[in-house]
Amino acid sequence: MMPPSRFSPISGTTSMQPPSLGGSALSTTLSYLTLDHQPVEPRRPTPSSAPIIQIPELSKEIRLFNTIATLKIAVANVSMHLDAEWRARLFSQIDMLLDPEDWDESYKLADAESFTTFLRMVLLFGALPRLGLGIDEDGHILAGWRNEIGLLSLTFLRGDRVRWSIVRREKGETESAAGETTLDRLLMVLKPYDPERWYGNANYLPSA
Amino acid sequence: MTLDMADDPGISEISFARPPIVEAVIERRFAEPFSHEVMEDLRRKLESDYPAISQLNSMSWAINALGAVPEVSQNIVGYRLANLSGDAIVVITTQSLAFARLAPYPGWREFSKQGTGLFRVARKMMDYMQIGRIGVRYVNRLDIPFTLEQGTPVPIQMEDYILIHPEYPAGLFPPAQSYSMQAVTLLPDIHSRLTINVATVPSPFPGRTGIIFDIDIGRESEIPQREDEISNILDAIRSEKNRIFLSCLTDKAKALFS
Repeated sequence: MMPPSRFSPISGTTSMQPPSLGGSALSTTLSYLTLDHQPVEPRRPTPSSAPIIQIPELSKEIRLFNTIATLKIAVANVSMHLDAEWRARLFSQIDMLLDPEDWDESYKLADAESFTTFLRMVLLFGALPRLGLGIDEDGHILAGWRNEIGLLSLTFLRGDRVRWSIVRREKGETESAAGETTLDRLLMVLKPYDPERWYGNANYLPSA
Repeated sequence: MTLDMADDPGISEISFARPPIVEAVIERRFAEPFSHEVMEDLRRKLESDYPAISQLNSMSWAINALGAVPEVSQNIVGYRLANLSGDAIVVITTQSLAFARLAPYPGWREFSKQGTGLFRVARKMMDYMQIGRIGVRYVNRLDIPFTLEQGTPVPIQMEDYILIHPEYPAGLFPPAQSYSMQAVTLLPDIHSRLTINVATVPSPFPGRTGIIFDIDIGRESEIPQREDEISNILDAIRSEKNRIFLSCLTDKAKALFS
């Protein structure tokens, strides 16, 4: 094995090869990183015979397939940190939520940024068991747990914000509470309500 | 550890339980563009396996000197097709065909087999098209935990994780908040060009910093056109990729995904 090489902007200049034309293989996920800044390959102009198109309205199936793929690709991006079985169950729930046969045109498609907040919660707190997923009327991802003591539900907003609500029945009394917080404070805010009582013993919520 | 262990499906479970590969790509570029009809035929052929479809468009604006309303036109330059498992993507343009496998990475044998299957389908539809470049690219992301000291993240020493990192005079300025570097060189043994990108990125994992370690190896000359010979070249490129991957990461970095 060759010794590891070290590059630095200064020492590298004396032995630098002239830049080569041509680029790297296309990455399908890196565009947002603006990493592809290698020398630009001279490109042929788009031939005038290329069809000029009007973007057609996509069919319901294609829109749903695209959303399913978007959500699963977001999961793939962090799948090295997720348990394979849990990931498979999550994929089943995504397929169920976005099944073209049960989808009405009036429903809102899942918001990818809301789903990112959901995934970040999973990475931060671990794969919470007995999780039921849904999508609200604004496309936000919902997660919920329901059992004999009540209901805990979370609505994932963009930018690591979470709306939470709890309904707890105990000793004949019903207590409810709700609020909005950031991901990093979520467990602290829920702590007085013993949220693990839901994770540990919950029935799946029906999908929205 | 042998070099072949880095992404071998059977052994990687022992060596690297959670490989940091976020995307692996095999790409063929053709010496000349093929027609839009062939591209459309290929898309139709693949859409049952890859039903999530997005168009890749180029936009152009024509503004005339008299101040008339600008004309906007869009041209289809390709398609990005994803499967419903969200782990495989095909990108077709009129000059290239790429197969990408996202995490979890199934290992080289499975990945290259899937790629070969796709290229065989394409070759049947395109007849003979001279290949101008064969490339393999692996995009890895290290998610490095950081600690907070009085609410402020403690700087990470990049050299503890990756041996391609920026160096600058001590005390010149505070620790860098981000960086990106690119190294391009030739690999004469396999007649290929290596492009390495290393950059900090926001990690999707809260409380961690992301470092992209992106290795691209492409062959642009003396490219065989027969599938068996192409396979041999891809195997050689993959071995080089493993050597570079293992050589550039420290044991501390490898421990993150072992």
